[in-house]
Amino acid sequence: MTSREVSVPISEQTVRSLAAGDMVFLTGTVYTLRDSAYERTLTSLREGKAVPFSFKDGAIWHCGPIVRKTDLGWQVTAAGSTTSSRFTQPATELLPKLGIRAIIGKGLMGQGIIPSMRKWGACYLMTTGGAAAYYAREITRVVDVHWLDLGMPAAVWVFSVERLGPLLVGIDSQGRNVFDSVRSAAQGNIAEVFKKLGIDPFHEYVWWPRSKEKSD
Amino acid sequence: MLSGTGQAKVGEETTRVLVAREAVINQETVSAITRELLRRATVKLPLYVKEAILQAYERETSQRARDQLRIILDNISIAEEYNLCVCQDTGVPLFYVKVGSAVSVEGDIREAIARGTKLATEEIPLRQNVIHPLTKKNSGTNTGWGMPYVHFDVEPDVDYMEITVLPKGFGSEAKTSLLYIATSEDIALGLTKCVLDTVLSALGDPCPPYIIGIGLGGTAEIATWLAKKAFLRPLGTSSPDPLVAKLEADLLQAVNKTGIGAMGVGGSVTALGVHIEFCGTHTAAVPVAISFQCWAARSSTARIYSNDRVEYLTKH
Repeated sequence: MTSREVSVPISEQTVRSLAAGDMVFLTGTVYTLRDSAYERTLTSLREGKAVPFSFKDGAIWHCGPIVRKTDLGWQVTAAGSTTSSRFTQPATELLPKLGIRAIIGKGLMGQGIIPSMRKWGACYLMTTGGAAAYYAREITRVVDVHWLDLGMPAAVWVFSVERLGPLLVGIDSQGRNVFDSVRSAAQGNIAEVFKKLGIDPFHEYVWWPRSKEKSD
Repeated sequence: MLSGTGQAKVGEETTRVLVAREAVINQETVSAITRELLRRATVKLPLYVKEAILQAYERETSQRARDQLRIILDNISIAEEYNLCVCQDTGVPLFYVKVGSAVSVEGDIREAIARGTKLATEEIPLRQNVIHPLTKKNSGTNTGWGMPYVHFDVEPDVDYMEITVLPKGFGSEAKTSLLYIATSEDIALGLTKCVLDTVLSALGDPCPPYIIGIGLGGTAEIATWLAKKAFLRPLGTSSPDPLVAKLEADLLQAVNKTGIGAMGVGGSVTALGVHIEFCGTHTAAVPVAISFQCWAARSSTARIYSNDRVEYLTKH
């Protein structure tokens, strides 16, 4: 495992040099994007309307921060990632359209995003979920905020960050990811537990909800 | 009914008179305690949770998982030191209130709790999470359309009211399953299969090391509420029923054998505990609710006695 310093804007060459399992510290501008902001961005693009920000060679963060308004401007008191698995579909569409090079989040992202990451040259960077006080210290300034009408968590916050991380490269631009080995190891380990306890993995214990294969 | 000394104002003169009154809890006290409980819960984890995460760090052998646990522990310390929320998802405000049969509360308890929640949201501050489920409009106060949600219980023969706050984040909440196991099957084996299947499909999404809460029996709403109530039992305790306690221990061992580890990066500590709460059910099927509580297992409880004396029960 290597630890890398990466700054935004991120060149295609830089993103292609990152490998799944590497540690990254990110410096520069990041945009938060989640939930209704994804919806509004996609709707705007489909309708041919401009969005008030550019993600070209940039980084988006699946984050809904806690932000306080002070006399000196916005102050972030907590900022950590939300679960990225629910954005696999919209992120897949947005990546090439907006030229995003890095998605920061937590947990899994679906396999569906891999072709888009491979083709365009982008990666998925994992934070430690919930470590909001930890990452808040790495945000040096709130540069701007868009779409505050969506509410504090879903608005698009523009942060200046200094060595945001450590971030684990979860999916790299070649489509390699850190989850496949964990999932297949877990499948094997669970099969062993089932065997030991005499559980037939194909036996239906559950009446409802019906499994997809069951027709009755 | 208790007797107490009341203040009666007669013109300019104030005299102390002895009056017979019912033990009444002041609405203002309920609001103030709500606000304080939210502060305690969102900034500092219960002591038993911190200890369990530290133990997980000490026994974890995977370096990648140890890195995750190190960040979690550092984060907990930073939040405490600077009085910041331990996680940015301060959840939806859920409350569990036990009202003693020997007390009464002046006014509307729900309203008092909502007022305390609004104050806490502004002052701490909490993230403004509560939205309308259809229009997605954010109230900006963490209240509205039935939130904060209060579950009530009555405790016989006690002269206090107990308030527990459980701020529930949605990374773990949105991984809850509800299933019915047929009673023609072995329930313990069926439950084990359901839990491991759910754990596998959730992988790192519910922010492990987590607590698994299981509601067994009852009906749909009983099972899901029991699964959540199971999080309120401190880590390290087991069910008073020996059969259920054994199942809890076996499930914990099985979940930790998966190797999913902290944040799903691969490791030996996936769950900090598996807690089962149960209720009698119908002869045909056993409802099973499987619920996750992320490592930021926030909760705090206080007791308010009839003379407005307050006792905070959770050590943070």
